[in-house]
Amino acid sequence: MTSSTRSCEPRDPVLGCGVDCEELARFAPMLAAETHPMPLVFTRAEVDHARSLPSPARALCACFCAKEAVFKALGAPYNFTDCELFLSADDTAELRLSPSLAAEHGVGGATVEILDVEEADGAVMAVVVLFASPVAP
Amino acid sequence: MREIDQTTTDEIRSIVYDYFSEECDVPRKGLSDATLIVADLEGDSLMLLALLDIFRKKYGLTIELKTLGKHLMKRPANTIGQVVELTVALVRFGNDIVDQEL
Repeated sequence: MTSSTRSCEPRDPVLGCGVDCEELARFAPMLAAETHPMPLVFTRAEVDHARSLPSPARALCACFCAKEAVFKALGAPYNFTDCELFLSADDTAELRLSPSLAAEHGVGGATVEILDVEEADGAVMAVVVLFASPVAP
Repeated sequence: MREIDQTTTDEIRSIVYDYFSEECDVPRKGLSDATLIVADLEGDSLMLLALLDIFRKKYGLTIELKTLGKHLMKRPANTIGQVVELTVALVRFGNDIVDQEL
């Protein structure tokens, strides 16, 4: 598994963290048709963006892992379309939570890491940390 | 609320059984209402979401995942029989399922 270790200055309190891992092979069939796969899970923007990348299945897999990881971090059900993940060409990941979801759970920020799990022969893992909204002094 | 007749209930049951049989590579005769989705079939959330998508397309379900999640926290669907019951309730009540005492 490729991984990285990072350190950072203390920031806002951690609301929760979540991890999820899925196999790429399960997502390739979803992209085979031109239709919008699982619209209750993926937004049109995520699907279109995934299709524009060299590995659409990996991008969609990363989206799903991030949404599941956010669910685990929140500890409460939410509409998966309120959380979007976009991988860039250089493989950095941007996690976007809708304003309504962030406000409902008091989320002020989030970090996400997308990792390739080489031992699992084509799997992706997402690690999400959610931070609380800053408290006014 | 949508009225569900026995034919529709049987159709839902058949789709659920066929789905798990194919996805989990288990003969349909090897499945029963008591079959545990995670422990017996190694099923997961993606599998259940894909099944939900099949019913969304077939019956025009407009359920929100948040609503479904709240319902599942009260009444988990651990077995194939419970998934059939849940699906019938979803088709019948839609987003109002969370208010139902099932």
